[in-house]
Amino acid sequence: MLNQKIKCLDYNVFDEVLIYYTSDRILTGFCFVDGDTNDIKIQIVFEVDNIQFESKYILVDPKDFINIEIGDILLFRTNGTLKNIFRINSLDNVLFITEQCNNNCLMCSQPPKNINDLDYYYNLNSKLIEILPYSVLKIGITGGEPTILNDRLIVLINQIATKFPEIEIQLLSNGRQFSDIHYVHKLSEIGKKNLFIGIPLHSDFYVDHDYISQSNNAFNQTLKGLYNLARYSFSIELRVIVNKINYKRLEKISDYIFKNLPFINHVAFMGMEYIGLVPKYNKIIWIDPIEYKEDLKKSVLNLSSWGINVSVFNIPLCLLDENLIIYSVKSISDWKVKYFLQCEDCILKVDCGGSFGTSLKHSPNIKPIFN
Amino acid sequence: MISFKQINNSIAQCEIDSLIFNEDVITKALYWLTADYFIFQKKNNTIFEIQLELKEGSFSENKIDELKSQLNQNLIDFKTRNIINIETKSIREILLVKAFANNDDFEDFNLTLKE
Amino acid sequence: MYYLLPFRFERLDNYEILVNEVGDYLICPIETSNKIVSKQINENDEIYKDLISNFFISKTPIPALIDNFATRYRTKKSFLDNFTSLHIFVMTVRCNQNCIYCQASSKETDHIIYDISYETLDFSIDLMFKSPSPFITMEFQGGEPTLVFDKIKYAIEKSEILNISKEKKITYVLCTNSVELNDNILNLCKIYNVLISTSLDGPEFLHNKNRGKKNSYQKVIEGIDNARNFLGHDRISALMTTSFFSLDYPKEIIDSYIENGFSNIFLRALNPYGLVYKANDMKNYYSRFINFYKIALDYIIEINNKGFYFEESFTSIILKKILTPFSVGFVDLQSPAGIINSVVVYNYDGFVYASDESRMLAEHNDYTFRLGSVKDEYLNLFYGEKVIKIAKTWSNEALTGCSDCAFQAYCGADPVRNYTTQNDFEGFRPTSSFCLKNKAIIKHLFSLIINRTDEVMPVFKSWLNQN
Repeated sequence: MLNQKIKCLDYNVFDEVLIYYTSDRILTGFCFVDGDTNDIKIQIVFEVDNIQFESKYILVDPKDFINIEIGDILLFRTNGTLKNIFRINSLDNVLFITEQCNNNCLMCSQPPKNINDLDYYYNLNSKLIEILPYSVLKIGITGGEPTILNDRLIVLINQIATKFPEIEIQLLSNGRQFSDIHYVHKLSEIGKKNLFIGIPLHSDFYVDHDYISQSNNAFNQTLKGLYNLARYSFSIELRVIVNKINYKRLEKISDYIFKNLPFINHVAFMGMEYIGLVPKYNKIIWIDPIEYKEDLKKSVLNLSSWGINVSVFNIPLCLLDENLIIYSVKSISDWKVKYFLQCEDCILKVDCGGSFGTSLKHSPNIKPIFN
Repeated sequence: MISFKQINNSIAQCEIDSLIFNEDVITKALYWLTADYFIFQKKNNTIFEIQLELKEGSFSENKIDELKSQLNQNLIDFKTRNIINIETKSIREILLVKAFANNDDFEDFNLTLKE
Repeated sequence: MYYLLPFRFERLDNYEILVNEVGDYLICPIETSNKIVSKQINENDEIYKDLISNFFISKTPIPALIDNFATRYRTKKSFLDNFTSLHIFVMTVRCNQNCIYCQASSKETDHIIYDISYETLDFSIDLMFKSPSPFITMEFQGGEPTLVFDKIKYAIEKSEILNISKEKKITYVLCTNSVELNDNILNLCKIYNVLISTSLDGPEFLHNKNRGKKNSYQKVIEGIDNARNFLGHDRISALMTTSFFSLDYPKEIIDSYIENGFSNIFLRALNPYGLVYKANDMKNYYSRFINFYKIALDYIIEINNKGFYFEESFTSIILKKILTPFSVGFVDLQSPAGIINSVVVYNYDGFVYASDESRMLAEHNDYTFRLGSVKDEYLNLFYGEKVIKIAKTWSNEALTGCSDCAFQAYCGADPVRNYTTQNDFEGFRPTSSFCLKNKAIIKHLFSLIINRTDEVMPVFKSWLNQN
């Protein structure tokens, strides 16, 4: 496996020490640029029974290594590829739990896969938590649907909590598993403060929510889950991904949230990433944010007027009503964000969160604002 | 109503079929009128003959129309309400039991039907 | 195909207001309730979505989210959780004023047999601490309670000592006409953080006319200023009563409140107790009051929209019930009623009463709502036969005329008032002034919300968010 060549492109020079991790053992290695060929190469040194082995040089695909820093943790996979799974200077690091999901949302940016990868990622994450540096302030838990890991998810969170009592954990979940109050009880027993749970709500009307989730009973389970979480005083962030199916009811959704879920700590209205399943279903799900400008404004201001924390994620400022600019958050990870040529002239560019670099299509209405 | 007519200056009479509006509905419909009217009722098989006598003063044209339309509207509304009350009686009880039962003691026998 | 969930409806102009079991409302076209009930709503109609999501109808006989619904219901009624939290001590019925609408039926300043005894205070305070509520408000009323300052001091100090072991959160309130707020009294208020609740009916000419004394206004204002300087601006609140005379001066009253530095007013109608009012006069009074309220509220909304925050408290209470999912504990307008469940009165005569109005009846030798002596056992007083009897009519869910009312969730029950005005605990809705007034005001608020949305909603929300 160490001898496999990988495609190679131009890159900067690094000759610092990086920490590597594989499914077998922890390694160290060197990354440098070959002076003759300009290839980026990595040589890994690993230790077995106290004997050091040096690998052959492995060529590296920089797409996996954008802006590598010392302290980053790379995963060396059995198929010979390297992946950066922890960026020391990022606040967006996540533990990836599984590709599986019990929903199949029409706008899913990372479509689920039906493979049994629970053990693989569980072991990986367990080891990863062990070697994470103490400087980590924030970690996400995502997937797929993390709660599919069931009790072992509780174990992982406990492991994090034990090592990092103050760390902020953001768990993303569709919330359905929390309809089981016993599961919520187990989660609460960890006693982890700074645990935030992000749960999407697609509609106030169960048929629409289930349709968008492509899953029967999703709405009911998620709503029961939300109430169970509230019973144990968990901090919940509700995420409303605005799309073609739900945008007309957006204000009613905001009313529903205030009346039925007033305990929510934060509501985030989110623009779609044109990736994953969105291109496939674009006719039923994709919408240019400019078309829901007014609906979004009413919803955000409605919730805000009731004292609920609201934010807008993933929508460029030029597509928002001006009243919403203060609610907009620069939410797109720095390694994913993209601005356009015309954005250079925009006076709001500094405050704008930009667009998804990964999106295959964007709104044609992204234009600079001059005053 | 089957019929509605003014008998004299202060009395109006109507006939209501209790197969259409049952006795509870009729009673409720009349309740709101008992501030201003004396009510006299007689039952013939399923037909209620009701006389409404103004407690004070006499009928103007407006007043008799007002009575007719109010009675009509009350009958229809209370019939609707009656249907709601009957159909939702048990759900209301379940709701209150669930709201106030001691949650730790109360066994929830999966009351919801699967779709 | 769908199933009905409990809801009520009422017509307003060209709309139907539908209200569900937890007080959520929907504004719909006329005939909607009929259509819903005759199962004519189509699954593809937008209103179908509204009805399902707002718990008016359900796809299954028992809605899937029944537990969530039950939690919401429990939340709405959670003002009941702590049982009696407002404890009113009528320290004396002596007074130094002679207000035309006084329901305290005051005796003259000298006869101390009209004062509460230390013994009664001791027993009453013990009863107060037997309440399961962790939050207690101890409110001193009269007549004019400051006439027996020593006893107020005694009562507070005793409570403080007892509270060392009980560890309740106690708030003290002194209801006074502010005419004799001397340094002694203010000092006591400062030490124990006593809130002062005083009476201000409006501008000078009006206030003095209501009080039956020429310098009353001046003295009250002096008292308020003095108290504010000593205790802090927000430690003094004012209540007004709308006398017959007041009915012609809504704007002047609001203006006088603003001039005197208040940021809220409670537009209180007369209670049909106390001094001499005939039934016909009262009917006329209430229709005039409703008008007075509408004018005053319009004026207040206008003031707010000009940038000056000023709240009408009764409106806020009702709005909180209509617009939010939260519980509202306002003793005069709740179901089950505020009497006993939220408030109780320990009277100077050594007896416990269900409410202030209840002990008024006793002044006229009617002991219907006297629960017992302060020396009686707590359980006998609060859960005894009298209370059981009253309990049968203290929920509007089970009262004739109220059980089908669309505004049930926003209104309340008051057996004492029914008894006093109509001679019957249950009451007769068609002639009930309580019903007339509340329904008119609730309807008016809905009408504002529907027809003048952009103008009133920001103002209303600003009041609700303040709390």
